[in-house]
Amino acid sequence: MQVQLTTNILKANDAIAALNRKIFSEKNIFVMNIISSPGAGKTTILEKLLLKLPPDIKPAVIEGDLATTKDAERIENTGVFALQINTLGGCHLDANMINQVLEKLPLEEINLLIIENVGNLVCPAGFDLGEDMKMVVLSVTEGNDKPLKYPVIFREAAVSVLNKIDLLNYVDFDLNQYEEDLIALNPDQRRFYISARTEEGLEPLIEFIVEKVRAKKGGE
Amino acid sequence: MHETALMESVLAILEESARKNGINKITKVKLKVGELTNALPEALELAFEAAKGDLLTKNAVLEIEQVKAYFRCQSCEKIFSLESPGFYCTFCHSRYVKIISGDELLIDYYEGE
Ligand SMILES: [Zn+2]
Repeated sequence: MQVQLTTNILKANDAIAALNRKIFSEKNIFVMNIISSPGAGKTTILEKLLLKLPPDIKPAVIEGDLATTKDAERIENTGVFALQINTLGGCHLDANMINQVLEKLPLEEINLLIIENVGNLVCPAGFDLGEDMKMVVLSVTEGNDKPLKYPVIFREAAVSVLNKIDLLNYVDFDLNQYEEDLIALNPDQRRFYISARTEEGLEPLIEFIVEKVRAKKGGE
Repeated sequence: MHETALMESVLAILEESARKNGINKITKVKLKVGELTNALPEALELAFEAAKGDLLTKNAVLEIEQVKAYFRCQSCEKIFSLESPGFYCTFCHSRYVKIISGDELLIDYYEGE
């Protein structure tokens, strides 16, 4: 007997993601899923960004990590609630992992939830978590060939951030080619160029996020 | 890699469907995997071999059809495939293109008794 299914393999994940999205929408929480390879500087960007948010933006962070709690501790040092999900070797967060920790989050007190995904440009791209926006982070030390090498995430991310631009003069990174490739992959993407270390370019990125949070809040 | 997670999901879907259809043994599983999904057929096969150890799928054969990516240009309406992952129209060079295939990750069908 042959059974025709034509079923999306990720349907279980996508169903839970839709559930998460509904919960976040009911509570007017803007959710950002940050994806990069290890070492791109996601946690440093977050540390700087969290300290500069205006008082009406109330954030919490979920840290996805293979095994350690180091990154969550760094976030907690900024005074922001941080929750660690250890994937025990898993290369990505999935919607169910987020769903499982929802009751541990101060959902009534926040309007911005930042999910720092496991460091990896391939696997997290396929798994919807229920977020409003994916943000992909690349650092200039990784090379400008990454967008074409990992087109899925660079195409799906509404926002891209190029980090460590203070090192541009010391590495072999073709900024024009990078920009051209990104425009080809995703013409509507908002692109930011920053150095989390020197804080150059951080302000426009923060403004952009604040705007998104306020829009979802419904202009209260 | 995420192929393991994908395969766990495949087996869960199969189990549920087999139960509904009174199937006790699955002999063949056919997947359609788009080239834009980042899922590697070899890794999927490996994950299947590692995960299929129960009675239902123990003797099942996995067949993977790789689906090529095709796009429709939103400016000139033409359809094209991409040799390089540039994501722009081969005809009019518009950046506004829509994926019409290549992003699927499907269980097409399975056979069982
Ligand atoms: Zn065209």
